[in-house]
Amino acid sequence: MSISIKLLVLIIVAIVIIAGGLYYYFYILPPKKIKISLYTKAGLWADFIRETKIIEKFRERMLREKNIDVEVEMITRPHKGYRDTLVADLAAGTVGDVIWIGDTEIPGSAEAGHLLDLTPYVTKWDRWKKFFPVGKKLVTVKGKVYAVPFETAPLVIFYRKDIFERAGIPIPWQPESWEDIYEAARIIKEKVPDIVPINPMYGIELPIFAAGGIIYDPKDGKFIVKSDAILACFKYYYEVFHARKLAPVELWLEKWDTRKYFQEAKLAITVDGTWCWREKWGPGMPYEIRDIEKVVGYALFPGSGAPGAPKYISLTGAYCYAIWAKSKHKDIAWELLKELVKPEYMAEWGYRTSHLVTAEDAMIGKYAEDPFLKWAAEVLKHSLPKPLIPGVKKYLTLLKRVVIDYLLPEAKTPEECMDIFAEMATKELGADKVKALPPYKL
Amino acid sequence: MYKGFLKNITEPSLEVLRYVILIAMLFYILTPLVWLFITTFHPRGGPYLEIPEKPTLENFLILFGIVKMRVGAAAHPVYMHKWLLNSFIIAITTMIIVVVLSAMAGYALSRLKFRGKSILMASLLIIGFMPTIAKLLPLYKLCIMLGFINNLIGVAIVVASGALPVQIWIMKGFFDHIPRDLEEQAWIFGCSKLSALFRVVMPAAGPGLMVVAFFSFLAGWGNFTVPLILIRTETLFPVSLGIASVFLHHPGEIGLAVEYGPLCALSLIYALPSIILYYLTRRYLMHIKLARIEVGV
Amino acid sequence: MLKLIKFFSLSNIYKLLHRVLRDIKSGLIDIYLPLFLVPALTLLIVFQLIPTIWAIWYSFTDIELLGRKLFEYNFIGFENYSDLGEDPIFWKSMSVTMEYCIYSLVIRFTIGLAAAFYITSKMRIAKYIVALLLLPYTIPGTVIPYIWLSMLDTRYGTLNRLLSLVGLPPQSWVYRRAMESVIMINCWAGYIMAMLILASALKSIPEEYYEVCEIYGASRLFRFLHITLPLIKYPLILCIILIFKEDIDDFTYVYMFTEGGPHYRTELLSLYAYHKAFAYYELGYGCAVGVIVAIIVFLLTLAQIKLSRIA
Repeated sequence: MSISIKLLVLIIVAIVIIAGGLYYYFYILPPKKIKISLYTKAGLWADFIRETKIIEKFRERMLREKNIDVEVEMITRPHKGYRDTLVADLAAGTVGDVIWIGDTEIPGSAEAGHLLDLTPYVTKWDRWKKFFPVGKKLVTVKGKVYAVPFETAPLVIFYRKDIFERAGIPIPWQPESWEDIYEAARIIKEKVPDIVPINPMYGIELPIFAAGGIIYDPKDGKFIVKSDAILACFKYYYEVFHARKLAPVELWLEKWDTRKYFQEAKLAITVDGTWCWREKWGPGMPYEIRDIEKVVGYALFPGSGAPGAPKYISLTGAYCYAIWAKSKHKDIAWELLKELVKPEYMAEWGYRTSHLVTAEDAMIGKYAEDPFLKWAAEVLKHSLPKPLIPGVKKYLTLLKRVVIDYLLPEAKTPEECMDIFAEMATKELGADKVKALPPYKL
Repeated sequence: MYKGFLKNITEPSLEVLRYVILIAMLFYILTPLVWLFITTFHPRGGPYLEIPEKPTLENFLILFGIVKMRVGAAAHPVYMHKWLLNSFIIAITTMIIVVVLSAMAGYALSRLKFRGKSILMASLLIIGFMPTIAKLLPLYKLCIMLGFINNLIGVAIVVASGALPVQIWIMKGFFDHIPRDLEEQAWIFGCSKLSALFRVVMPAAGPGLMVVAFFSFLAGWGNFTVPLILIRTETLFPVSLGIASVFLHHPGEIGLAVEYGPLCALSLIYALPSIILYYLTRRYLMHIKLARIEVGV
Repeated sequence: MLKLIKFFSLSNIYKLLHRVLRDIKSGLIDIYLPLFLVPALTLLIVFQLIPTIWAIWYSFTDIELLGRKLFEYNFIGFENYSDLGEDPIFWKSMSVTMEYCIYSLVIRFTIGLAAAFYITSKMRIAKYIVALLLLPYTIPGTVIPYIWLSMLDTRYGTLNRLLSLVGLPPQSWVYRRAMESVIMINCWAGYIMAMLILASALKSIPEEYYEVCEIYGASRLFRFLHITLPLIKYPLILCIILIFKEDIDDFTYVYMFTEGGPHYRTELLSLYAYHKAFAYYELGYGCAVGVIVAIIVFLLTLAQIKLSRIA
């Protein structure tokens, strides 16, 4: 009796379970489970992704559209030393599926086969047309797209309106050539004592492009170490620091805190990245400038004024998302990447950090209302991408070395500097990798 | 007579000189610390010394996420308590590993006599002479093979391997100073060798263990490079990585792009365990005994 | 085969364990004493020696950290080393490193020794001085460079402000006095190991020795040279070796302050290796620099040990 009842109960239970299982199997297909990883910076960057709930939204979308349950693991590396850890992780093969990568690492990583060629993906993607050309150039190596740009930060001129008023220079000010910059700085130097008139550059190489030059010839794959533009670049620094003494050489040699000087109105004109607007001088920041719109003006960096030089120019780098070539779920990684670069996130990030968005459809919301950021979009039209060739970093390091080690302390003339630079570059990059443009000879 | 006269003059002036040097030294050592202390209580901690008009404790609240740091582009140390805990786990594990292993090795090296012992002792010192930066990639690959990624214990083991050689030298020194007679007497009184080891030798080497504990705790507590390559999830970061990812976050030049207020507050908190540990071991720290160098290589 | 299985059978292992335990109990532990060395040595070999050998292997190849040569690298023999010989920056960096190490060593050591004298002296405040002198050691290493950056700024820096209070002209710490600054930072928290080791050594000198000196009226200098110094000789040498190793390995401060500038005046060898490996991606070359550093340290250590035996 008891046994048969037990048996009966058991059979009923079994039937219910099997029936339930069958029902479940036939009517609700269990979502496929997939795990992918996102490799990014810890702190601000990871916080942004968490705060905006990008990953949760992505998960929902995947579940809805493809019935795939995607678990996204975040791999986070500290900001300090990020580049080094990223390179080490790429080399060791422990990087994530989607990678947050700076433009400088793209050519080398692409050459080593670390990054997935995204060309087939972006050609099918409507939004790709909306991305600014400068960003696209930054992620394209030998005609193949390796990443999708997320933020960019071009260089612009900031100037103190209050100092300009005291010096009697009309505002708004937009220099049309380098001569205009020298002139404004000269007037300030005469009329307003005890301040540094100008901080001529952030980085080093922009004047080369502003003089209409290039540093790399893609036709024969050679770096240019002697040309009129390179000479003009050295001349620009020579004029500012030595010939006209518009800034003390210590400004660079001792790495004076130009952002602090600018905040205290001890510096009239400075060339710096757009991010300074928020991260240095924004509300609540260490060097806060009250009523920044009233006190600080901004202008585009002009061309040299020589024939063939562009009217305005800026140089920009970008941080991008790329996909690891050895990723097991490339399509899902691409979906995640698409989610990460959605316009609303770009706009929000751009607004918070005053980095610029990289697509025109991302100029929305608070970003579009901000006058500085709206103006900064203009800069991107004049922006050149940093050249993307392995070896460019060495080239630029050497250029900086020549300015910092020879031009500034020893007051070497621009011609001497160019000779020194050509010699150093030939040695470091190899004689077959460099050339001189006429009328110069190696 | 003459000599005594000279002595009468030099003695007091030497005494004065002694204090002058001491004050100069303390000045050198304490000035940055004073800056650190003042900036901790500065509401808008900049990189330069400014006496705050209204000292606040806000920086501590920011650290634990009670008060949000800044609007706009500012990271928030959301995981601070976890970071402290992780640092603590790494430091304690390192300490245990180093104390146990260096005690074992130190005892063995102290009591054993074999050919090439001096070479072994010297090579202990030499073994880590390759600069860390050149070893970084191989070490990383090795750790991946061993599954040390995202593993706090793994970090502790690697850190311990770096701290071991010196600590073995210190431990051996302590054991050398414990007379063998003490052990032998214990054997005579019927102790087995093992129990003699635990009942007689270890207590006598106690100060040594404390010293090693102090140094190895600090090695694990402050390490940056090893967790930098091995730990890849924010919740597993030790404080050193947390600092590098939250407070040093602005792009631009290194150095002046720092949230100084919370950073200094964090430094104070970060210094606390070391100070406590120092307080506990202070009696022994001045009695470090080193192994004699008896190398004939 | 069967024998092998039998050998590893549970009962056999149990028997073996039993024997070991019995031996330990009966006082035959000495046989197993070498085993005490095994764990420490394993750790050292796995995490120190193997990466070192690996890096030495890299130094004979043209491997690059990023780019095509990461996987397709070739064995190139001593090419990296012969390149090093012709590399003017390497030689510059070598002399800079020597300068840095020697000055750092002298200052760290002197401060350490002076501090050791103070904290072992009979001054009443000695107890408090120890606590104060140990404070820099408790500040996390990641923060130290930032503290000093703010100290050394030309215009706003605390140090120059203090100088102007005394009426001295401000100094260009990060440029003209770059090397001095870096050494100063390095010594700030760097003297503590030396201080503790030397203080311990001083304390272990029996009081009677000094009493004898008093009786014979020996001068302070004589007392230091003929009593103190010989008695603390070994800790002293070890201190020097340790400090030297640390200085030649660590490049945090130059990396943060000067990036090797101005004009390679602070380009330490370790920083040069870093620049080569992580900025120019020439890992093989960077490793070769690392090997050279290791060889230098090795030779200097040997020399120091030899010297200590002669003295």
